[in-house]
Amino acid sequence: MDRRGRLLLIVALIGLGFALVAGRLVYLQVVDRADLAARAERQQQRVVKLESKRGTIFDRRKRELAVSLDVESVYGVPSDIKNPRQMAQQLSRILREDQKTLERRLTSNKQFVWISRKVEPGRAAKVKDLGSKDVGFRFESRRFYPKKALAGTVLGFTGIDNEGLEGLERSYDKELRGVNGWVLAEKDAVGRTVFPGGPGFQYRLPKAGNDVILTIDEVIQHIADRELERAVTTARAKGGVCIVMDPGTGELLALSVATAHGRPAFNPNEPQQYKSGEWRNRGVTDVFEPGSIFKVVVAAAALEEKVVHPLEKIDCSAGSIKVADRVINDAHRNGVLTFTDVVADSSNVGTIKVALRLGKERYAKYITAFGFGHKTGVDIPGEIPGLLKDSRQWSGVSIGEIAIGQEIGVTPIQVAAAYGVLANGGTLMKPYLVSQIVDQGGGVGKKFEPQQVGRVITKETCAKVSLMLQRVIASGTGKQAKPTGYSAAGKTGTAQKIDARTGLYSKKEYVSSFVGFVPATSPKLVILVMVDTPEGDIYGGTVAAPVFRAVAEQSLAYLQVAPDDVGGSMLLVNR
Amino acid sequence: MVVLVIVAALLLYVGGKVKIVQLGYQIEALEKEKSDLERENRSLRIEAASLSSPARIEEIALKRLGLVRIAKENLIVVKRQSQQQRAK
Repeated sequence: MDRRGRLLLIVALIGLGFALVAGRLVYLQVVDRADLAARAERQQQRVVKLESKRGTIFDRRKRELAVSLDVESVYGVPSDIKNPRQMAQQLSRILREDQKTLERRLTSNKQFVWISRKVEPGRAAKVKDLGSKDVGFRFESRRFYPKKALAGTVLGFTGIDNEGLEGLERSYDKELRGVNGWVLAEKDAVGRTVFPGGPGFQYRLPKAGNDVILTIDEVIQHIADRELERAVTTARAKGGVCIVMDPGTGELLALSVATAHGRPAFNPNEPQQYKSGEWRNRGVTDVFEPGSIFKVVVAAAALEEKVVHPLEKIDCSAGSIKVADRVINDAHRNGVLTFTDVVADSSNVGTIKVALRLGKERYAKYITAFGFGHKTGVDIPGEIPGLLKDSRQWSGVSIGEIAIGQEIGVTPIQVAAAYGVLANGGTLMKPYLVSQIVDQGGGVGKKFEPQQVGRVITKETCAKVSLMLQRVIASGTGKQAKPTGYSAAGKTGTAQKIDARTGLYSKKEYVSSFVGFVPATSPKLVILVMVDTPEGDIYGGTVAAPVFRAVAEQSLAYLQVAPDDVGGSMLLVNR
Repeated sequence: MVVLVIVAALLLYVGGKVKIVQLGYQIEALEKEKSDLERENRSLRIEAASLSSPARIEEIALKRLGLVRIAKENLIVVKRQSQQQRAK
């Protein structure tokens, strides 16, 4: 071929090359355009989840009881890790995770594994100090309870994904949770996120969870926790409950549940350290036979129906009474007592005699009116209605047994609400734990007002019963309940538990209780104390009454309620 | 001449786009700083709440500071004289 020919050939070949490239370009830009653009978009864009903050739970004075905080979770990319065994060894030491489990995760085929979630900030720092490029960190929200065990069984706890599992965390989970948001962001070549802004910027802001304000007072809760735990430990008991309630409104200022003696109080920061029964709020989930504290229902009903007068004399000298086919005894011999002393000295015989005057129908009506046999509706999960037989199913002896608080199962919260009736002039109030829900978005929150369930007895009857209950403390079985400087009214209870194996009343296991209100002249607090299976001394007057006294004295002083019963010493001061 | 103008315009255009991306990085850095500070704030709030728990304060008061609970003997109730009593 001659020179000119060769030149033409080269030019033609080059031209063909360009044409092919141009053709390919056209192909890519025009034909495959949509498909390639979509793939690029997928690679460049990502949806970033904006986690909502779980709401905070406060006590009535806005002190934090449950707060969420972002902490770091540690993850690894197994495909990049060169020496999984060594890494597992180092990490298990710092993070306190099982080495074998970690090693298994780090040698798996996955692109991403969690090494340890929501770790303590100090430990995360130590992992960072290792300087390994094969572990990464991501922030996740974790729940903290800064007051540790205080009100633990009321607050409950959350799971690893911040879902409420028990207590108020569960019953108010929807309010606390909020709604996650998202934003469509772009990723650059190195993976950094860039928010494009401008029109077409797509996002949805997260909606923060609502805050919840409780009726609980942190200080009174602490007082109740402390005094109850002391009594349970001293008595080597299986547990206990202490409730402090405002009788006028039904607000619960303290709801304390003690674990068995020797066991630590339930701390929701570490639920895995406890056995499953120990985070149950036994104030609402468990029944017990109330024993003598239930006698107050007979007293109130009988006085309201005017079948007895407080000073009427009742013959209890027989020491026992036959009801249908059973004989019920008094704990100790009494003579002829006024009805007031029947209550003050807790005579079974006297109480049953008056209950028989009432009759089954009327008595059953008052039991229900006081709230027994159905749930109080308190806003914590797990409440049961108690065990109360319909009056049509009562046997001949039932009226006698129930009058002295046996053959009936009640929850501590029901008893507290019932004594609230006597303390506030005759109305049954609904006990509640949450007073307000605060909307984080600035919207209108929710306020919970006291709710009246129904009128049970008149104010006059309340005054008469109150005098009798004051007598219990002044000269009856409840002397150790008397708070210094304040008048008080209440009732002791020493009830046999039912032996689970035999189904009969146990001779060794008792529930000791004391419940009442202070000051008696103008009640501000209802206080209930229940100690489950104390060893040795079992009487409500000696095991539970001192707790009532301590809680009453300290709580009233904290609330700055003026003493109303100072006995002899009084200074008169000129202004 | 026209080519120069076109090139200048293109440079300005690209320069603008680059600036937008740079500002985006800055915004992200500031957002990160903001959320770091917010996180630290929350962490300190929790720490403050924990330090002020009644159980802890009580223990410090009783054990370290040697404070005692008020004994009943040291409580004296003082009642103000009413108007009529003073007039006597």
